[in-house]
Amino acid sequence: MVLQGLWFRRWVSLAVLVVASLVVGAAVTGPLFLRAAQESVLRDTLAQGAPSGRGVADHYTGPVSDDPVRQVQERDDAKLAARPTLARLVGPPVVALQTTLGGVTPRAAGEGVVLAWRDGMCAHVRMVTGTCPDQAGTVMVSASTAALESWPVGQPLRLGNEQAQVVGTYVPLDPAGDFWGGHPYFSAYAGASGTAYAGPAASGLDTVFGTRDTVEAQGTDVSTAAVLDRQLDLGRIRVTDVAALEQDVATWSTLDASGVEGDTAAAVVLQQAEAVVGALRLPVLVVETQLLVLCWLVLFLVVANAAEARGPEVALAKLRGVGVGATVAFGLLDTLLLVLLAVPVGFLLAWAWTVGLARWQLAPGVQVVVTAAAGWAAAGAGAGAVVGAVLATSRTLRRPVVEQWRRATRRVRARSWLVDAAVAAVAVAGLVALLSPSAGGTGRGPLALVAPGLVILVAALVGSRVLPGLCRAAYGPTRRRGWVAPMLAVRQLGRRPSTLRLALLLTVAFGLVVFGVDAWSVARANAHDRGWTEVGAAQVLTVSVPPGADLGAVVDRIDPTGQQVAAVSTATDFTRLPSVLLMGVQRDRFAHVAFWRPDFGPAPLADLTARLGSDDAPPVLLTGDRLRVEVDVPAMAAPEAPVLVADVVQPSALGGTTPVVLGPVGVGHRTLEAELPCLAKVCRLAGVELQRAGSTLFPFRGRVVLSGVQVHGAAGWQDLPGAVRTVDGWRPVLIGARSAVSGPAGTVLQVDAALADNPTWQVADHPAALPALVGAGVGEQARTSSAGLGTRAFALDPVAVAAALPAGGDRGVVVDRDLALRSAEGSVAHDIETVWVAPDAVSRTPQQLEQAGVTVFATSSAAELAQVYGRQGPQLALLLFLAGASLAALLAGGGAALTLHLSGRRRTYELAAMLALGLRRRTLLGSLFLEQGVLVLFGVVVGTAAGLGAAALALPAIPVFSDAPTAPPLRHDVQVGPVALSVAAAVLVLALTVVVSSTSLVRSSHVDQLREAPA
Amino acid sequence: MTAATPVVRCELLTQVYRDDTGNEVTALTEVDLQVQPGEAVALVGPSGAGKSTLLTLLAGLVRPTAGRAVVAGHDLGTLSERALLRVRAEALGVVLQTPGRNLLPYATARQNVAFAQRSPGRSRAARATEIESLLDAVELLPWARTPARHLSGGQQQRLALAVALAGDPPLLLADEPTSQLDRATGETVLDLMLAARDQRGTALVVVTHDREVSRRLDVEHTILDGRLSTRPSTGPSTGPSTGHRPATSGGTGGG
Repeated sequence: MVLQGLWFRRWVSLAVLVVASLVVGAAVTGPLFLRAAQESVLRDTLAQGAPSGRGVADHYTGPVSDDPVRQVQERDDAKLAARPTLARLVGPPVVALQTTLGGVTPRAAGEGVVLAWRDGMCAHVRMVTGTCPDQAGTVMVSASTAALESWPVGQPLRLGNEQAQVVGTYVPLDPAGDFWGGHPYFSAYAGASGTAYAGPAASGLDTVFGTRDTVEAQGTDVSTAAVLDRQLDLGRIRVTDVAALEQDVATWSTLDASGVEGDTAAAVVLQQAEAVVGALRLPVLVVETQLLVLCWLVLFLVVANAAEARGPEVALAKLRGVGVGATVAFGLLDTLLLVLLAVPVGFLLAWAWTVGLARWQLAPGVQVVVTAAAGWAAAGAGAGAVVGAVLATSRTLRRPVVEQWRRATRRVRARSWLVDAAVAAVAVAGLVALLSPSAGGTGRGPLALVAPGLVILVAALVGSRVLPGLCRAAYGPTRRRGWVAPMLAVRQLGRRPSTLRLALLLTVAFGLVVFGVDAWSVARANAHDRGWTEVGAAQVLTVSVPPGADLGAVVDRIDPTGQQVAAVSTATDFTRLPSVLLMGVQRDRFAHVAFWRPDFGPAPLADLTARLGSDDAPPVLLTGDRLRVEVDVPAMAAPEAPVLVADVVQPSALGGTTPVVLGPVGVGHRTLEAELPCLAKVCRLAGVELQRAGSTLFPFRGRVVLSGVQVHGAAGWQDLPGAVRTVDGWRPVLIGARSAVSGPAGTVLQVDAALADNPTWQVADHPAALPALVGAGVGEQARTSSAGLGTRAFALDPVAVAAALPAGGDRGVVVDRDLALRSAEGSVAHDIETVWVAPDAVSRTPQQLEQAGVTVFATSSAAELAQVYGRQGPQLALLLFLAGASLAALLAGGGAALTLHLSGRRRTYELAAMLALGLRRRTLLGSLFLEQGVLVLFGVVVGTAAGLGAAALALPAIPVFSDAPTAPPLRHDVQVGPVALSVAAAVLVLALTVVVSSTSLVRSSHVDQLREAPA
Repeated sequence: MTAATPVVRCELLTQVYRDDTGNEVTALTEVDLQVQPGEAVALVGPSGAGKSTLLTLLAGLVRPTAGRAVVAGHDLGTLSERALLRVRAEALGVVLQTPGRNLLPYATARQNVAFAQRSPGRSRAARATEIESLLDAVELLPWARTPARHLSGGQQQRLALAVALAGDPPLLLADEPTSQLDRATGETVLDLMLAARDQRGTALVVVTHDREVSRRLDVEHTILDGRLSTRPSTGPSTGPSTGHRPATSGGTGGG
């Protein structure tokens, strides 16, 4: 008969089952999501570390005769056998052998050239020319090294004691990736920590790769280094493995009697990962607790109403003399059955829900694992639901039979205002404790997630007191004006405190949803902005440019519009604390491509980058094999004539300027000529200096007039009048150089050099201090001086301070790229060349660059980084809050619909009486619409306001990231779009419920019901 | 209970209750009433006179403010709630005005009767036999497996009668049992109630506005402003009960 009863009340039964399932689901979601989120942050933390932080290595250094490779392999196997967790979680080993050879090339005279074999290397390089070496005596060199040294395929090399032949040139694939183990094989392709391209004076040649035999053929006594790398398989590692893994890794880095030394940075990374994983527990617990309380209250309300609907049956049982225990069983059994059924249903719902959340927001490949905690949560929620059901049903069970037969319910005593005052006082005290700055660290962090619930609760309590008062105040006006429908509505609301439970519930649910939507949207916006700010643009490509090519010119060619792509030269000044990122940008393109937010700076980015230009003399470009300078020296007091030297900057050189010695400048007119290394390339005249011919130091002073500059190229001698006749085209830069004045007759250089002075004048094709945008976090000193792109520092002239700069955050400095390169005078050892790409050009730009001969060896995506930030612990806690609040709102809406329906059924006699009195159905319908509509509207309005208020108060205190970034400024503005959309959706659904419920209620009321009036 | 013991004995029964505004309302004032075994008693009076209040007192659903209500030898005012349940289970059958209130709408006719079987010590077979017998007596055996909500109003009220008679109680209380039925159906239900009186010796106390109903019963008590007055029934007399409990000279029962 219980099943018959359940089927008879199937919609109510379904509602109870659904609500109970959702309560269980909410409880189980917590531990399921917590574990999945922990797996996600663990995976992200490990993935973002360097390869050395994701693996272990063993090294052995010794002569070839020691068979270093075998040594390291045997020792590694033994160590791994003693570390079962590590053994289970690492991938296959990669072994390598290398030696350092001198005398290969003059460029590497100091440090030597590394000859190496790495097992599997051919699959991790792209061959530009030739083939990967597979025989002894054959090697491959990097394309960068081959260009620097002019080594074509077939080039014979003397490698130590052996001859070898270059059989191919390569570009490494993913040089910072796991395969290469973080070892410094590459200079030209080292990315953020190395140079972009090796220059004439640098020793940064990339590793020469050959077979193992080639390396060992160097001789049995030659010292070699063997290394065996193993990387963690991130797809296999689980949160439960971390502790054991830490133990295994902690003892890895030891040098034992075998001579094999272990090496790993994984211990630090694992500790960091463990901290991040552990930090999730409290926020998830805080969020879950609040949502569980709300869900439980909804369940209580739904079951209480369902029990009320069974009141007549319980009364009948008592009337028939059914015993107390049997009556309780009769009244409770169906609800208990539903609750028990809800446990597995809720568990499945939670699992499916969490899988959906994981696929949407967590790191790819994260599995949702069913844990013991989830089982206990289900059991606990089931028990809680049973308790709730018992409590909710108890009033109906205890009600006397005669009370049950009453047509109109007695006026239910309103809850005491003292209860509200006490709850509100506790809530306010809690809020102050959580949000007050003087609370120190107590209120900040995960506990701040309690604050929104408290704010919303206080608002709901206050509101639920205000509504009846407002309704009672409307009694008179509605009666006097004869507005029957409104009068009936306000009277119902004014005299029925029980329905205000529903208003309270709707308010809290709405408030939590609005807060959850806003908080999640704000968190996503902050993750988006941080990702885009830190990358700088939709995509940033780290590139290597062929010698003689200017990246700016390449970009101009592939993007004539000037709005899709921009070249940016970057260098990090590590001498500053904190370090400062210098960016030389194409200022006309930068504003179109870079990410910018209005609050980053005092003006739009286009306005700010326009300030980076300056009116300077045009550069003096030299293309040819000889340089001629006409010089007039009206006066020169010196023991011997100083020598005029032109400083010439060759394209993409690392070594600064190339000195071109023109000759002595004694009194009189001279035509000085010298060889120029710029026949097939465009050089730039950086300046001139006067040097002493020998090593003897002496002072000298006088005047030197540069009256003409000519270059001999393919078309013969070409005059460059602008080189010496442009007004303000020169300036003195070093002590001893007094002045430089340019005019129609040429440039007059005034010199007064002391004993050791080296007077130098610079072509003023760039300002003495570069206009710069500086980040607010850059120190005072660093705002006026930069280490530059290489060894040549330059002065800065700040034109604006920004809260955040693209890629630099608050520690960036932005200057004009052309001016920065001129200021560097060829010293670009620390320059990393990048190409910034707008969203529309992301798919085609890498190919266009490759076709132009530019090698892309690293790609940063703003969207991907934003996703990574969106998967940090604090954001996942807010995601859970939103998911749970949405669930609670669904529950509250469903509970409201059921309550309206069930309570309405009990009012059909009242409606029947009013129909008998002559009220039209239309009037009754109108009063019901108004009554239920006001109730729902109250919940919407107060809830929305409370939710937004909670967001304004609490969001600044709720952490959004695991760390505390200094830029970009966090935003806490209301996300109007998502909030409005969710409120509108909820209002629509509830409005539909009100219409259906009211219409059904009026239709089911008829005068004949009054026949049941008591005698 | 001996043959001379009334099934119902009320002595100076008084009921006062407070309404929603806190005012005291006297529903019954010093009512004296006796109902003999097998006697059919009608309670008539205007609306609000206290008829249903008296019925609820006799059913043990409320406790009297003063006086005594003794049903089947049990002083209801002194019993615990559990004891009252036992009295209702064993000594009382109640038929309410609204057919729907007497029955579990989703249970079949058979299940409804079984739900009301509370007499201890009966075997399953005996219970099944009683169900069959009761349904047969109210002419509902063909509908034994029909859910109550699918029965007509008259059928539901007949089923309510069968349910009330489950366990063979000595007293049947009925509150306007025919008011929501048409004349013919009402007559049928009344016939069944009187047949129960005749065949089982069940005493009947019937609250009714219908003179046709009160005339067919043995005694008519009028309640006015909470006070009881008695006169014999003026309708065709059915004579004293010839069932298991002979009529006594207690009260003013006529015949």
